[in-house]
Amino acid sequence: MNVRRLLTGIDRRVIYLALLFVIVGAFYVPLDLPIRPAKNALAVHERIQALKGTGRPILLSFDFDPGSEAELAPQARAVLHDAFDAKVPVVAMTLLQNGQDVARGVLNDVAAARGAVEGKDYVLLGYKPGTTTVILSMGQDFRDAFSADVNGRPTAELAPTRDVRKLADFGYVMSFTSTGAWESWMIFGHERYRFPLGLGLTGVLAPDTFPFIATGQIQGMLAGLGGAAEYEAIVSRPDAATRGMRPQSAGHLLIALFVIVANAVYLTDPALRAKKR
Amino acid sequence: MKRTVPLIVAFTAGLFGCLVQYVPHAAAQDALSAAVTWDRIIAAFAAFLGIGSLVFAHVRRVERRQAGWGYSAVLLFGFALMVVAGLYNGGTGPFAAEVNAYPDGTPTPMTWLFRYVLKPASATMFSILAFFMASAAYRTFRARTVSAALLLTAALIVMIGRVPVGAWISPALPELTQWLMDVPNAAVKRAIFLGTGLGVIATSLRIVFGVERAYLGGD
Repeated sequence: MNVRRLLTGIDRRVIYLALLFVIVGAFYVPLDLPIRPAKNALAVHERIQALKGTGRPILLSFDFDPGSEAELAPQARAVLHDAFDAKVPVVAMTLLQNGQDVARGVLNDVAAARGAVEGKDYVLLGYKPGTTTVILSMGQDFRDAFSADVNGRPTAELAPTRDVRKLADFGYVMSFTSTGAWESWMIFGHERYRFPLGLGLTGVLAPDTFPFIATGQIQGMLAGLGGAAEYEAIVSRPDAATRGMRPQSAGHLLIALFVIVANAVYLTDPALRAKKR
Repeated sequence: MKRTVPLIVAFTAGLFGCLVQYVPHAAAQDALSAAVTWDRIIAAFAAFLGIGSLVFAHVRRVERRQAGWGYSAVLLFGFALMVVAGLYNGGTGPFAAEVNAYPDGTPTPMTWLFRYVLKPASATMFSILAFFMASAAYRTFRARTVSAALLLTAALIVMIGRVPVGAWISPALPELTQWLMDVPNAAVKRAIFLGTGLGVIATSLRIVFGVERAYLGGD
């Protein structure tokens, strides 16, 4: 049996099974991996802590749907815990149709765990269509964009939104998204209305934001499930993201191993290198 | 007239959108607020148009028994189910505030469908991507050239450095990963964004000045 041919011709079903086995198995391996918060995750925490005692609320925009919930909901949970710890009022909204129920689920879970009261400690504004125009509308006149919360209560009467007239009145705005909504927040929100903007993104989108982090246009960013685990480490509340780091590490290691083995065989086999694609 | 009026509207709206960005006068900002409100209303109507277009396309497919019409029938059934559940709104109707659960805590039909059908289905769709990516990486990531080898090396460093096991293997891995993100990645992304930004400006000017007329459609 030609070992080289075997190693470069593994059936994809074997790869799928190996990945499944490694990911599921990693849940049962008792190994504590070090989680070192990145500077971008620390920046989010510093922004929220700086609002302690000021009374200024933060705006969290849940711009993701259930498909990205596994990566982004843990980020949102960790940030909510931090905000409730610091007694910073939270205003939540979404620019995606399916984001409202996701936002409600996350808010209800964390609020129940922290004893936070809707209408007093946090508000859910709900969904409005239009993405860019909603951001512009909130920047011009917040109450025109959201005159009431998702339960129909006027935003002028709710504690977290009573003193908010425009986007710049928020102490920090954070968008959790798996779409291009982050660009809308930055271009039509931060650049126009000059509020501090943070992002919670899927791992795939995160590299796009580094030029804007370098220029200070984005102040804080959580990247993928790893970013959520970093934030859980910052607020000392290990949860789903921290538990997910073992299987994620195992999965990454396995994929890296496959790539290394395939390339090792490729580079040492002249016949394979000569073969056209 | 059929083509001239839209061109005039596009020119006026484009010019207006540009000017209000640089005119801080209250009148300009009030005009912007009004325009944004109109835009939000139009966006809501556009949602209905999109839904209508999708429904009619699938109804046609079912009527004509085209290939895959069974999937269209399932889509239409799911659509109708969600619309009815949404309009029912836990028994309070479509004009009341959204109801997610009954007084005893049981979820309304809409909430139940979202939580136990839509969420698992969406999560499943994205979950299978991991397996496809693993298979694709194994089959196609080859260091055929020097640049491919550099790309592959950087990808492996970032893949391992971004997870906690990277720090466990070596503290240098996360540091190298951060440098790759902060320096080469940021530089290249910056170049890409500059290029696309210039392209967006050029295309926008072409539309505003009527040079680009594809949006008019027709002959």
